[in-house]
Amino acid sequence: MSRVVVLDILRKPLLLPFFQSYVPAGFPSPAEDHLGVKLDLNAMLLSHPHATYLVMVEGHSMTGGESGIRDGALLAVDCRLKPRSNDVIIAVVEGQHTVKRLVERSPGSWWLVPDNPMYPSIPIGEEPDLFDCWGVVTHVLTETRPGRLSRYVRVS
Amino acid sequence: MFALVDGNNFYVSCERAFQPQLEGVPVVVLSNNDGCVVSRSAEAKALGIPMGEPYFKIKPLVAQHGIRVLSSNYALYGDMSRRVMGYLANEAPEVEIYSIDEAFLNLTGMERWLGGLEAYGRRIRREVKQWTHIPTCVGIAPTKTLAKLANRIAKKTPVLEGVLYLDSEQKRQWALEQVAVEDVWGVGHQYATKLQAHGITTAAGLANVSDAWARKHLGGVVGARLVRELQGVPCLAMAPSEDGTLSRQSIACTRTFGQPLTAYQDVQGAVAAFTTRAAEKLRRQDSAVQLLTVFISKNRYGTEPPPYTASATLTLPVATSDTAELIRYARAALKRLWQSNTTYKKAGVVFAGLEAAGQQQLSLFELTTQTPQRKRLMADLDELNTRYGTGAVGFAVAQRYKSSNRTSWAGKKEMRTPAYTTNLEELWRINMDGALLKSIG
Repeated sequence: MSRVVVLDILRKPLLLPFFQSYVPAGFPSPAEDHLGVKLDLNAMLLSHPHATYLVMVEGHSMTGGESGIRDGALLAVDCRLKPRSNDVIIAVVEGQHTVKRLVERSPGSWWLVPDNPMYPSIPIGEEPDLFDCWGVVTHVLTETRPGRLSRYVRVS
Repeated sequence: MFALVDGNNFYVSCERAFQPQLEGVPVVVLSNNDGCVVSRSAEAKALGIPMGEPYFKIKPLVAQHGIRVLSSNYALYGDMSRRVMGYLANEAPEVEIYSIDEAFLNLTGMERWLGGLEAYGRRIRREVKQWTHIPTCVGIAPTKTLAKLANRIAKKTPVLEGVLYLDSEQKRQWALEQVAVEDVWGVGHQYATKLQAHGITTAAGLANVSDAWARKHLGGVVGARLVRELQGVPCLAMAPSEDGTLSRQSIACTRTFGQPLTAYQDVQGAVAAFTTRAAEKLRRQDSAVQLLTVFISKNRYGTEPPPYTASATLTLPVATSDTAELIRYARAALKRLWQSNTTYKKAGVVFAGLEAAGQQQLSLFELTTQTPQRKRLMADLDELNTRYGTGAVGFAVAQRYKSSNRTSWAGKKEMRTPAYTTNLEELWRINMDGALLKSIG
């Protein structure tokens, strides 16, 4: 008997109550109590356990943009995805990892653009390959009330 | 057809996945007690650093060439290994994990389904690299021994770009001529010397000996099997060899239960029994284990939803071969996986990251059980079981054990990188602004 099937423990569903209706302004729906819908947060964040990584980011070059990536955010990164223009990616620049938005400004001219306009964009030229793109960021986890998450972040 | 997929300089590649600045520079990873070199990047190999060399001996070279030296980070390697193996398990009908960085795939009858197997090998290599950032090589051939041989050539021949498929008689013959007889899988030091004395220096020479000669000079049926495998006749199935000729780099004991089990006590008993078996095999080859995986499977065809298999991997604080200790860890792993009101069909225990016994790093904060008395006890236990039959004497797994929730203190490791993927407090971190500030300057 030699067939070893390896599945990541992360696949264990983490089911949380999930309300599909918007927050009611006024009279709450009596049907709300009977909603049996559950959301598997692990399945959502870790779309593919073998190819998904979590990373804590520091710095301010992505602050203020659409992505909502702040200093101290936790990102989920999926390496199965082929990067497209306007994706936020983990990129390799000068032997270091960084997080930037990938933008094709004109055909065949690709750039790594920070969401914060105070920082410069970096041209990468041709279409990005594995050397430039480590993975595509799919989710951002930040806190509105500083607590558990930021405890693990060094203030540099 | 079989394929052998393995990671290039696996430990170094795991480190490079999270530290791109280690690309292109010489890197070595040291064994558990920062004692010897256990993994070398291509650049470090080119500088002439041998495998297994004690660290103090290479210190001058390290200073001279700016070699990056890292302590082993088994938590990271275990997780990356699970990612690679998990990918392979989804891609092939049958997978045998041979070590932390190697797996055999059984592709029998899949040619038609997969299209060209060379293209399939290239796709596997590309996707493993994309998913896990680990570079691999793939050898594909009619037998496991030839797949191992093809993999070896793929590693050493850059023009092949990491994949070699022995799909014709000419290619097989060419491959056999490339490999020295001592580098054939299953040929140990003693047989290599003997073969060379008979003027057999390459795998091709070994493939040409007669069945009778192999039986006479190469340990009977084992040698005959080896020669047939080289001739392209499959003799080794997808199970690790049970005859003890090969010192294995991972040991698995998995069974389907006689009848499906629902009670925790029963499954716990089964897991303890498998751990006992695997620990015996471990001691037989004088190894100690660093990574322990336990998995349990539900009925694939029942009413319950997937996933059908859940697994947990523990990095042990100190490598051990002590049955009692291993049972303790296996139980802790099982506790994590257990779901009540579920019917289980199968369970298994896998040991990986094996080290030579007696060379493990001891820990200051872990009570070690590896006293001479314990060693004697284990030896006596093995002897009794050899004399009176397997399982004659064992541990009463019904005993209560209160697992204490302490963090596993992994000993002193001067140059260990963080456990990037498995520990929230050591989670992988990126500073987003660093490279940019440099580019402004």
